[in-house]
Amino acid sequence: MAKRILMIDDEPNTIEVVGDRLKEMGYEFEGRSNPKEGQWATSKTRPDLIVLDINMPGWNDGIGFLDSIRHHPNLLGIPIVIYTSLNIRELRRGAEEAGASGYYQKLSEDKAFYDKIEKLLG
Amino acid sequence: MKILFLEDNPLDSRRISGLLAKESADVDVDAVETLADAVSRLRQVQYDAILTDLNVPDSEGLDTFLKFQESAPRMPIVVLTGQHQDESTAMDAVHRGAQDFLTKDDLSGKVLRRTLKYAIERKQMENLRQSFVSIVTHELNTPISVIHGAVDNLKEGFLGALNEAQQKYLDMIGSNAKRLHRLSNDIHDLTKLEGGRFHLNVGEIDLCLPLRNVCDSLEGLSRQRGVRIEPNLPGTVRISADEERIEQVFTNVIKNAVRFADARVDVNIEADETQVRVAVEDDGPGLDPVDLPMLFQPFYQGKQKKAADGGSGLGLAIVRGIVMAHGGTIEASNRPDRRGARFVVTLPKSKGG
Repeated sequence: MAKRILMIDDEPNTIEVVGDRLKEMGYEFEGRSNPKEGQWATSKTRPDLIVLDINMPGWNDGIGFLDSIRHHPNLLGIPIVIYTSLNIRELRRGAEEAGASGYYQKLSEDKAFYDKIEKLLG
Repeated sequence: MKILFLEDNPLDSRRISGLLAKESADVDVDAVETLADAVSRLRQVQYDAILTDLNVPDSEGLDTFLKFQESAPRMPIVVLTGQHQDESTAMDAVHRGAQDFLTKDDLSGKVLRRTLKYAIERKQMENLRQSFVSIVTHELNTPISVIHGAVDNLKEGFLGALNEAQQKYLDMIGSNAKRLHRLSNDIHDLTKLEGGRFHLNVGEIDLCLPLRNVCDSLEGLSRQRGVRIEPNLPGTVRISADEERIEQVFTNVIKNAVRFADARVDVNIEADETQVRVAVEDDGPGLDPVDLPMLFQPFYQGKQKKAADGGSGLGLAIVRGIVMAHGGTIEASNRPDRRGARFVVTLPKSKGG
């Protein structure tokens, strides 16, 4: 069965572009552009991987958001890959310390980002 | 307004605090005698501005200012200089982001108060400018990355095969999106450097490692241009520096050299007890003397700029900022012995030392 990826990013166009590519790569894909609606956490099928933007409205502290997802009872143990427009070293380190499986800046690290997903999902 | 005042001479300290107190009841001065004391106060108390002597028992010269800037990057700082000191250190502090400087023998309560007030206003504008740039560059990055991602998907042929002309146009859109993205990232870095908010991750490194990495990673470009990079590196050269940033510096400098060289780029290291000098020389047309004084200015593009190289015009300004943040210098000149340009980066073996 195809592995399932959930993406949370407040920019719908980003979800569309990344989603098309991931589907082309053979994954099942679900995107959520409202980080606050919380539906992603209660959906019935557990994703195999989460792609998360760390810079979203309503969440001044991106690491806090990452933390809340990582410790959500429905999502425990699922690898989280950060995909964001911010290229800030402290944030990168913070994300890794908070348990993210990777941190990639949109555009400049696209190739590494898709490679990482393939590596994580086998 | 609440002022943190660092001055180790008790006479000066009392005199200047007195001048301020007499001038206005709305000025509240907290006087300390050491930098360590001042930094620990900054953590506990909310101040409006810092007024500081540069030479105190536990810190000297520009370093005093830089340490304040590091501990309180959003705080306005006014520097005081002694009677017989020259102004150049104080001017250095202003270039690095201090709001103003005053000479101790030439003070009145009125001047002090007004200077501090202005410093607070100026710093507020500066903080606004920095936040603005930071927000704008990040807001730009989002749509740029969408454009680039969409073009990439098209190029991969997800939506059907493309003919050559379509491919060509998509390449054009894609590479220009990348260029915009680089520009926006560079503006962001430069603004952080200007504000002294560039965080360095300093550790003990072997300078030869990043240099070797850079030469290796530029092999493709140099081969394509028919240029040989000749690194002449000793075994190890230990310095304390931010390895990633140092690599960024030399990527920029050596890539430039490859771009302008006819056939060869030389990279040489020279080290003594306190500092390391890295010289990067090419055998290209050399630098136009007209360009020399402006070379490290943001957005300056010299006469010899090669078209469509995708540079933002910020590379060398960022390079200089990173080198300065390490307490080093960078100089550009033409080679005395032969045709070609020469860039020399000097770094202290230990930061600030």
